[in-house]
Amino acid sequence: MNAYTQVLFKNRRPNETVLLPEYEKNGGYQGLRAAMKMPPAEVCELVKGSGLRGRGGAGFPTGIKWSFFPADQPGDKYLVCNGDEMEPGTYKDRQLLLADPHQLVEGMAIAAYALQTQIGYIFLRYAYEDCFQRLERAIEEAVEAGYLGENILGSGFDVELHVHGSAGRYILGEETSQLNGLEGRRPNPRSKPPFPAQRGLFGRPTNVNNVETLATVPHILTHGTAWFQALALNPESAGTKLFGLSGHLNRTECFELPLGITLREVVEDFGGGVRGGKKFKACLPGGASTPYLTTDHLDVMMDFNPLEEAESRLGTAGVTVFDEDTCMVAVTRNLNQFFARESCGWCTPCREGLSTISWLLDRIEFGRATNDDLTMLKDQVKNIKGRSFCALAEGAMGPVEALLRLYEDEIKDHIRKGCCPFN
Amino acid sequence: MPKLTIDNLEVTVPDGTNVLEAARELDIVIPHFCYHEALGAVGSCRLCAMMFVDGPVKGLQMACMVQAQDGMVVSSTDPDAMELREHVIEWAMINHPHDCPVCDEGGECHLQEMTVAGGHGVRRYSGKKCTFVNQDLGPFVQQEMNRCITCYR
Repeated sequence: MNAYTQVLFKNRRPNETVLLPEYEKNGGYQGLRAAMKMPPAEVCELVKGSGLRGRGGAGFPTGIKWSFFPADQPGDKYLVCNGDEMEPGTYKDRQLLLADPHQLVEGMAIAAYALQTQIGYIFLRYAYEDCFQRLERAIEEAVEAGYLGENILGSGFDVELHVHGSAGRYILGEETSQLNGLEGRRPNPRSKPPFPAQRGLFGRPTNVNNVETLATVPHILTHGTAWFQALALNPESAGTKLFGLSGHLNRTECFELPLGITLREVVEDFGGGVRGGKKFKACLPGGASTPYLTTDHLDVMMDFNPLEEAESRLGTAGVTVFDEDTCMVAVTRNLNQFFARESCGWCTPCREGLSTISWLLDRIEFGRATNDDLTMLKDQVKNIKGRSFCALAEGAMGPVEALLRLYEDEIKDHIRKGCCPFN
Repeated sequence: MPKLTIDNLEVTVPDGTNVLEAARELDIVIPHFCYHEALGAVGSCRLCAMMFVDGPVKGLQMACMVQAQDGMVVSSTDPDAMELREHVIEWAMINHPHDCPVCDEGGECHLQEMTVAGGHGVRRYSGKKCTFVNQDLGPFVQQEMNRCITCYR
């Protein structure tokens, strides 16, 4: 098993959270010091030049997102960290926050300086109570040490950070719903444009980034863009990624691996191979919203662009593996039930369309479906994709569309046999 | 005062008019639920889909959410737009009870009009419907939430 450079997990130990003295001893807050020696715009340029892409699932280049932000605009501006991790199969942000939360605190301080925002919120999933406590303690330590609060590191720049516990569920992970949630409103999404950078929290310019994205920023500031780019195995890419493994593997742990590593290496070396000596059948490469990969894709690089070319997405790199005895209709049915349940109910395609797909997949799985149901399933997908108000329904179409594209034969088998052939 | 083309007819409208209203100037009524002139554009029902064939905005968009701009070429009869509208009506009807014969709204019902306009006819869904518990709003208002299609008007 290759020993890859650990960046985010460098200080990680089982069942322990790194406190400030150890974090500082291992180079912590050097990134913040480096950032404050440059003009804010230069910090943005550095992040842009590093090639860092968002780690929350969409993979939008972080530096470009920051460049849209009106840092020079006077008045209130906000920085929000999206810690509402609830995508099935994704647990890497929790691992990061339990192990070494100061990385996020430092990252947010740097981002706040670069974007000239005075107030930052870490929006945390309600179930992450243990992360909440660790983050609050890390923030306390940082304030005491002068990394947060008024006049940080003697620069004249003020920044305050608050942890906010979500009062909702999955839809709060959508950035505009999250802003509504922070404002105390019903968390339906907002229409874009205007984008949060123009009109966000309380109508003010707001920048939203994922936990892992912000936690990576201090390392880029400390070691530079060339170092960051060299970490990836894909020469066109940059950095490491937290891969959270789950499913039918011998080792379902969270590993920090270079972008561009092959699926085969992830599954066989780090996952320890499929459990029970079974064979690999398929996997979700990046959480429940990503289309399946099959045995045809074992040598694809796990990275943003290569996976798009493979008709899937890297998403959050939550790799869930399914063995040869798995019914893909049952898997899709399970995933779709999640999305149907989590629909916020705002727009018709998601609210009703996902339930209709749930009903159709029930019929198919339990052997009550006809060929008309298969046709109906296809036209449901066609009329939901790209037609909903926000990306929740779009994500839900990932596995369903992949089921129709890759496993139509399995569906037909269910219909023909009048039962699930895998039982 | 932007000038745009809707279904091969040209129209000039005041600044700030959305495409749904612009179509209405031409006596073209695009099916819609959540939009109302007094309430503004919401964008949640997804019924007023039109195909923006040319101009500054392209693709399948919700007419009520798009501001009319110079040079837009829009079609309400595009097959993809019509297919989406048919599906949105079908979805809205999935949980709707078969109450037309006994419902007060029958004959002057926006949902009935939109169903016919959308082209939805035969019910394909044979599963269970969502039901609601009615709230007590006093002796003068009777709530019938089972009939609500959550159109968000």
